[in-house]
Amino acid sequence: MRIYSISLLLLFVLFFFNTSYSQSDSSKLVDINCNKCSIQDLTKQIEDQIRIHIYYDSSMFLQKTFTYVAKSEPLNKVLNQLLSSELIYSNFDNQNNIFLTRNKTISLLLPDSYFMNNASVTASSINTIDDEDPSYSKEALVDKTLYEIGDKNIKNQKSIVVGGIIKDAKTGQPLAGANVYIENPRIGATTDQFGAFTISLPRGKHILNIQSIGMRDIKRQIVLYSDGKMNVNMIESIQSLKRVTVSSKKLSNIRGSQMGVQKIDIKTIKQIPMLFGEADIIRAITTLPGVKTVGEASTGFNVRGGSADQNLILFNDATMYNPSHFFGLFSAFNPEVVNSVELYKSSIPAKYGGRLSSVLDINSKEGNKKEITGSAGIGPLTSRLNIEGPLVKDKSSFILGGRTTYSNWLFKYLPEDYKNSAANFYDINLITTHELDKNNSLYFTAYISNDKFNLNSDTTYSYGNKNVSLKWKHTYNAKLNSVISAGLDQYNYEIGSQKLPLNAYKLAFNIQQSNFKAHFNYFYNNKHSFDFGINAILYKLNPGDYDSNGSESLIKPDHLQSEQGLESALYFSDHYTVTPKLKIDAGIRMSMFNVMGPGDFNVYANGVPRTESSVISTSHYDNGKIIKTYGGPEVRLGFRYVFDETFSLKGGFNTQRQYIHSLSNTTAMAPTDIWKLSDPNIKPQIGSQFSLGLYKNLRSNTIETSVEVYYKDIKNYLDYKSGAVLVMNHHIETDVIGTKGKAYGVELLLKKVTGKLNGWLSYTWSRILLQQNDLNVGELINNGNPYPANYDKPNDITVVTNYKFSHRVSITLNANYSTGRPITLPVGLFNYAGSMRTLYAARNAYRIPDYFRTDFAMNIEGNHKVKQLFHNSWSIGVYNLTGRKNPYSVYYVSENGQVNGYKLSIFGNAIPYINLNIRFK
Amino acid sequence: MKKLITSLFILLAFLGCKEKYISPVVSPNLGYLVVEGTINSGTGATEIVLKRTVALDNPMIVYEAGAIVSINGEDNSIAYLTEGNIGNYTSSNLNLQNSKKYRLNILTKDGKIYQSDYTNPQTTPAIDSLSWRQDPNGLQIYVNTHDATGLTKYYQWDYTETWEYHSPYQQYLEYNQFNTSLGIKYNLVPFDPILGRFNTAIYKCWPTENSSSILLGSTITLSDNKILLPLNYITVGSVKLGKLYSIKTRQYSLSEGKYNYLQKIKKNTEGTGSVFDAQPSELVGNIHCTTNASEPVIGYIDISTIQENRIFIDNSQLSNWNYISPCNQEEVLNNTDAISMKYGQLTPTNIAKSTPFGTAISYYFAMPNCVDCTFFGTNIKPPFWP
Repeated sequence: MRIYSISLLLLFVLFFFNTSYSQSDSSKLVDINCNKCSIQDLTKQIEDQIRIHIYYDSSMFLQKTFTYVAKSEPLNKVLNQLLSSELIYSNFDNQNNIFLTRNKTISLLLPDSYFMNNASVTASSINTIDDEDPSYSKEALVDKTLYEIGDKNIKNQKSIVVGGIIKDAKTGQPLAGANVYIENPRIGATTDQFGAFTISLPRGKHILNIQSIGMRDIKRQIVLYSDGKMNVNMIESIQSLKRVTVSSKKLSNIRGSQMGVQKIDIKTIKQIPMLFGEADIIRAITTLPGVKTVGEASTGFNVRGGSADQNLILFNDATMYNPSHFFGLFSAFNPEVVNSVELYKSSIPAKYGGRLSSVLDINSKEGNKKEITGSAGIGPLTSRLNIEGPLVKDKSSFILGGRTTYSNWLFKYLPEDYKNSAANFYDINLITTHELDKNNSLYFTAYISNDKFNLNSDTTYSYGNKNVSLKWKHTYNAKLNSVISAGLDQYNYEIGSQKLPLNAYKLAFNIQQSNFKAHFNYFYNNKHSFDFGINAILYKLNPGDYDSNGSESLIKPDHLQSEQGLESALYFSDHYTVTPKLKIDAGIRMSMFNVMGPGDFNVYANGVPRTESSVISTSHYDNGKIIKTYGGPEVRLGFRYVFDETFSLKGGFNTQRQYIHSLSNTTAMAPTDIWKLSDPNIKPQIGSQFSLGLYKNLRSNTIETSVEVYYKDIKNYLDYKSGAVLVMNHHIETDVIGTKGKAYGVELLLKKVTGKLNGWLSYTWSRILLQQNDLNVGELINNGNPYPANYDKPNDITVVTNYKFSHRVSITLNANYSTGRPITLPVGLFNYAGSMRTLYAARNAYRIPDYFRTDFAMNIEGNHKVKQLFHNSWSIGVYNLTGRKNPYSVYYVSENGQVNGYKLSIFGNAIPYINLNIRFK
Repeated sequence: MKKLITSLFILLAFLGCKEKYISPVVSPNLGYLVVEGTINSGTGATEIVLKRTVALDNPMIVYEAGAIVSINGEDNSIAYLTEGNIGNYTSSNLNLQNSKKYRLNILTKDGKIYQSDYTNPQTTPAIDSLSWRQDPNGLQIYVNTHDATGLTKYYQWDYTETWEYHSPYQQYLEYNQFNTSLGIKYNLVPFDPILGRFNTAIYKCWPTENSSSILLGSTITLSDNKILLPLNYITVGSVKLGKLYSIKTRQYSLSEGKYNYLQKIKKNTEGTGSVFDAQPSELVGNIHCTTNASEPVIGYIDISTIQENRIFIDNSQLSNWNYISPCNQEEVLNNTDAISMKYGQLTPTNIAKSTPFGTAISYYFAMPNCVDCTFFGTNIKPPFWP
């Protein structure tokens, strides 16, 4: 958690500022008894009575004396009386300071009336204010300039729309999630991923507050006449050695209308102790309430009872089908290029669709627009290098990041079964940003990853993601902007073996999707803001190509027919601020899926289980022919009611449809899981969720608490039949079964965002139960009774605590406890084919032992000299501090005629690590 | 950039681990019927073995005795099997017709009737050969087969291994019991006082072992109906190849249903333990309890001919097999009390040291199974042994 801070002083000032603006503070009463006293005497009298500092250049007041007697008179009146006639100006700023000058003003905030009469600020009509030259002085934070926006001559516009972009002054990178607001009346906006905001304010003078994580807060005095723009550059908060940190999001948990949104910035992620010290986005996500994973070697995660394939994982809008490296030990995202991670788990905005459970939106950084900088990290298993910089200074930038591993030595320490294993991976990111002009920006993202491994066998697995996307952001005017993007996402894997020459084979799978998105945001007024747009995804899958591998091989090539489908959606949503207290998000997404030819599809007899023998006929369809259309409306509803500044209630109802499914009969999301499009025989999954949450902030918003409850209903959840064959199956619909699912739970979160000790505690109680009780569909699972899904872990507690000893040294300790996941245990034994063997009955009727793990990390920053070429930081930690052997699975195996039960732990010991990170420029 | 080159590795302690797991589940004794065997439609006996499932904590083989087992055809032909060894029901040549369908019927002691689905007999192609190859870690035995007719797509094999075993120590002495005032004592006397030979009855034996894993093969994904499949692997130094070794392999042609069924059992019970294994699943075979339809029955009955092949491998054909016996001898002084202490624990083998006059000073003793080969197998030479 990098510190986003403003000083406590500033926070206090905020209060003062407000009141001085309404003239109550400068109207504090003072007694003055002056008879030809000097400026020193006068100011001392005032300073003794009020907590205020008066500054002046004594050379200017050398001969000056004052005579004035007052009893309980307001300070501003005293000052006006005393000073104005003498061409001496008093200037209040917002830090309890008064500046006295002779014959000229300095532009500080002044009492309203005074200011309007005497202001020496330009009054020319300007539409755009660009603050391209920030100074690094503290004064820049509280800018004394009065910015005029719009045309002064337009007099009748009551509500004025201001748009703009908030950027990092140092790097030129836009700041997403920054808060832009005025205090009175309370009106606010948040910047989007491009740093853009739109806010509608009453005509007149305001103080605009701008806060962003890791940036020093800014206050701007503005006068609004008509619609206009205002771009602001913010300065990174560094090396303020005494400070209180305040999150820019400190109110957003209360005020935001979306519930179930979790945002973690990369600095927080980097602080959490991770396996081998490699910052891992997916693992960080699993520390949040409602997010679970089946075990250590699985990067797939489960959100509110959803399976791993029900998460839409977007990296700069590109869909990632396999978010893991190294069979699940690392996530596929390079922490050096990631800026922020947002997880939507209940109120999913209408612009997203296609998955039932959640959207994980990962946004990359933009490259530094000012200078070339970089970072590098060295860990025990992986290394990464990152370079970013301007292509055209201040206009366009690039960021290039890569990671690779040298992990083979690790296998010597893995269990015997994995000793002869090997694994390699790499990933490369290239992101470029071009600001064509004020209203047009282009973003290009390319990602490629590859993994190759064999687990102590002669079988090699490899898989990779490839993504490219181009995004064009266009601002029509302060109210309307659009983001149009097109991209290509690909995921493929290959399995091969040459152990038996006659049977040497390779099996390839790939999925390709081309997508197009057009998203519009129209800021109608302060009450209504509309989002609308269209999405289209053209899928092309090669579900399996089985070929011979080597000249001796007798393998008969077998190719599953390719699958094609078009998923499209049209959406519209309104963020409606009914009253300042009540806000409603209402959206509708019309989604449609066309199953497209070419292909042969079996037609099965109605009312009997689908087996090969219930095939009535096979229909052939030509290329491009639409075979079947699924679709319907998806509702996205959410509301927020604020009781007071620290307490709110939110609720939501959501429906989702999913047209692409991953089929698996393994516990973890295996790299060999196949994806399958809906087709005439496989219906889309449909989910709906009700959720309700209470949010309360304590201790001046430094402690956030929330309680959320949800109930979810899932239709056509695909589970496998007993003994299903999922690979190279020409009629996979006979091996899977559509089940009904229901999930429900309570999530508690307690979060302390500031202070030396910060962190969070999350507790989730949840269930996910599936049921297949229709004999016409196929075999009953567990006699038709509900059974828990593989990842049903009712109790889950996570604690993440961070303690900062100093600005350089912090320690993090986290702990996780959860109920063991369900497994199918044998209920008996029998002797067959020369061996005792296990007899299985009810699916997932038992559980593995509970899971508990604590990790520890210490982050040590090098010195904080800004101008230094290299900045080093070390992270040292221990994963699984207690060395607990958490079972990943329990299994029974027949060995030499006997049945033995085993408990397999992936990490049976404490794993220490050390990681060196270097930033350079 | 110098610091970039600095790399620090901390050697990790052993990362993962595998531990024994004892199920907390108190499993009921379900006692489902287990039916194993293949109806032999060719020449040779048909053997059906009936067993019962047992509780998880009671790994015993429980045979089902006293059942009435028959095979009937669609043509109303019927043949009864007779119970030989307990739970083993056999019949000599059944003379089934390939064009007809047959099924198995079982009437158990408790009055329940079990029936398999009607199936056609299948013809199993002959085993082309059994071959082997030695590598530094051991010896791999392969089965080679093909089906010229292309009818057989699925195969199962099982095998029986037999090897000649010589006890590491020869027994020249035996205990002799005598009474003393302090009770019964023992001393040692020659085993064969006349010829001075050792006990040959326990020296040479022929242990036998059956395969314990399900061996399956399929040509369904191959362009040619040819199979070269690793059947059995013997790790280097194994006693099996200490002298002469033989393996007899039986080949069965399977229906797709039985192949899938066995594949499922195999996955459930042999192919578990890796990170990406499929989860275990329930078994549904082709045998049903007609008196209680919901009662599970374990087993899948196919009808086919059975092919056999046997090869021998002699230790002299191998290089560096290095079978080393784990046995050793203990030297005990020729002292009645010392010898008596060994009685019932160790077997005497030979004189260790003796005086120039031939009186034993000390004797060698060894663990009984280091002297008596019948611990491992029969001492009756099998008829097929050369």
